[in-house]
Amino acid sequence: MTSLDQLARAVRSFSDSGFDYIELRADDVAQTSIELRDTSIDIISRKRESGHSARVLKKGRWGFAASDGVRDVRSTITAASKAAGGIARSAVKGSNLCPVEPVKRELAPRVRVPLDEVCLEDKVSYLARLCREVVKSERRVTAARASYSDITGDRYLVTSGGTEVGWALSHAYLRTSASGKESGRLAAVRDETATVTSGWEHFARSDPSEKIIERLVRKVRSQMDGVPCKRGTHPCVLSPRVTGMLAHEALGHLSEADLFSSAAFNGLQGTRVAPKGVTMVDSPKIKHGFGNIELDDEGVLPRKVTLIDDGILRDQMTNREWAERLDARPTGNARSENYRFPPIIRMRNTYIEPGDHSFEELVEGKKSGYYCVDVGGGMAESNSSFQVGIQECFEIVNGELGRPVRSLAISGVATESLAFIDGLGKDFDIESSYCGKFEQNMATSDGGPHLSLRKGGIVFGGSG
Amino acid sequence: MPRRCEDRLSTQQALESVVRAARKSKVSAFEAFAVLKMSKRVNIESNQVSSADSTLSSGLHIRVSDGHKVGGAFCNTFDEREVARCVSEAEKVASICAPDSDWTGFPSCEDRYRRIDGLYDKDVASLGFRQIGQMAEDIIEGASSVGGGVSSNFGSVEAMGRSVGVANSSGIRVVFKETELRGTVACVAGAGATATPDCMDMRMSRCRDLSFEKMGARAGWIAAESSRIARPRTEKCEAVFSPMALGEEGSGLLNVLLRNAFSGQSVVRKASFLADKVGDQIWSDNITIDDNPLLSARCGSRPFDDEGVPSSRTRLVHRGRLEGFVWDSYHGGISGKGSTGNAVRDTSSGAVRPSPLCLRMAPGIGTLEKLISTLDRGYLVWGCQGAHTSNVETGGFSFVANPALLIEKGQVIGGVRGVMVSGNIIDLLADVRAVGSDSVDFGCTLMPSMVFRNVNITTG
Repeated sequence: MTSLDQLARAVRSFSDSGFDYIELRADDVAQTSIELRDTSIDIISRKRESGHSARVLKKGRWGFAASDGVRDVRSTITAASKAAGGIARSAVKGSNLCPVEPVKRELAPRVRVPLDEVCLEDKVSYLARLCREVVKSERRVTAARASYSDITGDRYLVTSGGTEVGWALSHAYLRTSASGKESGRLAAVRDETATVTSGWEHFARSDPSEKIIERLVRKVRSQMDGVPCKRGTHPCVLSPRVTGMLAHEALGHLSEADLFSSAAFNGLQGTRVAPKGVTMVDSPKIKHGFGNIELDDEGVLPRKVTLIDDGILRDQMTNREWAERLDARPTGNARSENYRFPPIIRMRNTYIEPGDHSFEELVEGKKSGYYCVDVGGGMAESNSSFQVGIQECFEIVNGELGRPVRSLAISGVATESLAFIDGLGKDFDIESSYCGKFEQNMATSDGGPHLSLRKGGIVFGGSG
Repeated sequence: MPRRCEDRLSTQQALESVVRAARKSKVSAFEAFAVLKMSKRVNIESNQVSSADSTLSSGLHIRVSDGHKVGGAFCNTFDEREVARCVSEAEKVASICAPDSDWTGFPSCEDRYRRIDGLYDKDVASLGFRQIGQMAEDIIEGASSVGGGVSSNFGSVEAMGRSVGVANSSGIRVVFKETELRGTVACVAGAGATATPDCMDMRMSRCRDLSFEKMGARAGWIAAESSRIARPRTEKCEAVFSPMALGEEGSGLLNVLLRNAFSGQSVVRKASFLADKVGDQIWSDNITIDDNPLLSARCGSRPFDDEGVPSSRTRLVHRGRLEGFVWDSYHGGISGKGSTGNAVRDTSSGAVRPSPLCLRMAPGIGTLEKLISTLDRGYLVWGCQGAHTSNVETGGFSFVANPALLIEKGQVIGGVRGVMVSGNIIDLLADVRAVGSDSVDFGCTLMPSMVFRNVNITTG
């Protein structure tokens, strides 16, 4: 186990060693994992992890070293220094950091029912009920699974700039899935819910289980009864969950400063990339946001970043290094999955702000098209190509919802697609999941209102 | 006294600590899985070497069983006290689990472990940051040599040494060590609205036989060709898929879809689209797939699986006919097939499940260039953007071919954007015209290029 004092002492002991910057991070956490299939326990596992890492900047070169509690902290700083020294010949351009005020804080979410005070039996019983209800609710469901994990414990950050921060973690994630089968047709659907701002009350208090069950069953029915999707481009309405995924994949990743410079939106700052009324932001704090943070992993106080303002491309998300390069204020988007990884620029809660249309108004103008309700993952590319898996979808026929559609994927090229947005709903919702970038999985939320696009904005790839 | 703290540790010692702790707490049956890994990595960002990382990680997963009740716990230090606490935590978990009537205990080893050459290379284990940095520079140089404004957007070279061990109360005590050298690069060309996608290449090896310059040049070639924009159309046509597009770990189409389909767990749970098709001619007769972790010097090779059961070669598909699946001891027990030595442990949840270790598509004839030259009209698919969203239970997929090139009369016309490819893997592998000879080792797969007929292409 490592304490904040130990880390601070270790940093101080290297104060005359020629480092531009030293950053130490440490975790001492416990993780519970439970997997159920129907009502049988597949896995229960308890995990205890402690370790630390050092990131140093020496003569403009970055070095990073992580250790699972094997090395002592001073040895880890030395290992990071050796790494930075080892590439001195190869690294061409030196790095600098934007200065920030040091922060000294102890942070803890306001938790009513701490995750580590709920016994395993109660968690298993909750998950078993979920699985049982899903199977009971639809005769064609052949299996229901629940995969739950929570992490509690302490995280620390100490920098040579004087920042000393301790976090108490309360992180829970539940993924439920169901399979269906009838007459040779198969269905496989999933659902996710997660929290970093509350404890077990996230599951018990608001009881999202009814909603999870309803969504899963609806998705199984949609896939079992669905017609194939017509390949090509169609007018469409996206639900808040799909809008969120679009925001995340179509522009979110490409507004991360480290990706922006080589991406398709580079050079378009200050120009119109979407119709008037479209505003997209990345925020460190929203209600129930899985990407909520009080401080980023460089100790920067995070702020809201406006990526698109009334259709105009504006700011990028930065860490301290990229803020310095861009001569901008850091936005507090440096995040790392845990001490094993250096912080990199990541989204937090990314969403499109609501407009003023009702759902009916968005649908009624469309003679034909699709209503995409729920997502199954997605991916962005630097040429602004995005792909989003859709696990629940309905036809739109003469301004009304029609038959369900089997699972499919949609795609587009964001530099072109955003211009096809022709309506924003007045509602708002978010979804929570993990986003992968450079081998790190990060808790994020994406959201927005119902959103309408004209034909030409989105390509429907057809049902697989 | 040991010279460095790392020297005090070994996987073997961690396993012995578990055995002692389990005996002391009178656990009736137990299993320990230990990993110790050291890696050095140099990163590329914006066409230059940007940073270097050094990681020393350790992990210990302990399962105990009391009759038919099984529980597990992890820790990441090999300290005696922490190991004893971990054993006791696993016991606690087992005590609350309902008995599993299918549980037959931890496996014993009845077969001999096969010697596999070339899993460990001391030259890789001893690589320093300067040498790894030079390899990263070679990648950048290889990409730049293509010209046309190609640059290495990001990438890395990593040298890793790892030891893995398993011990259990049925008498298994095994350890092996391995090395891996891995290079990755994503090249881009153009800027703003004409920017290409990240054109990736990756190679891995147990030893120092990789050409990093060629790796950069390959990714650079795709970026350069992608920057000349060609117009795709909605059609049904032939497509050549690169080894990357099919076999890469994250989004290789066949890796994503076949890994689950060949798993004995999916078969037992009826969650594999191949579950009831053994003996059927499911695919083209030029498709032969096996799982072969016994090949010398391959990155997916290993002498035993994560339960300590000796690895074996398993025939999965022979000339298009489905022959079988891979099994761990638990699911192999349920099916009556027994373990094929394919247990894989999820080091996050502790789940032990059967999975292919080294899925090998039998190579055919011809390089990627040769296969491209046989297309009258079609596409080269280099990357499957979003293949991870495929439905692994049904085999359905719908992804963006990105990067992808339009091919006419055997020649590359240029890069295409917004091309979606959809279908079902059952149909796709039933319509294979050719399999290449250019197999690439991605660790989890050994995959050549392939030409598919009647591929559904959709554009905006």
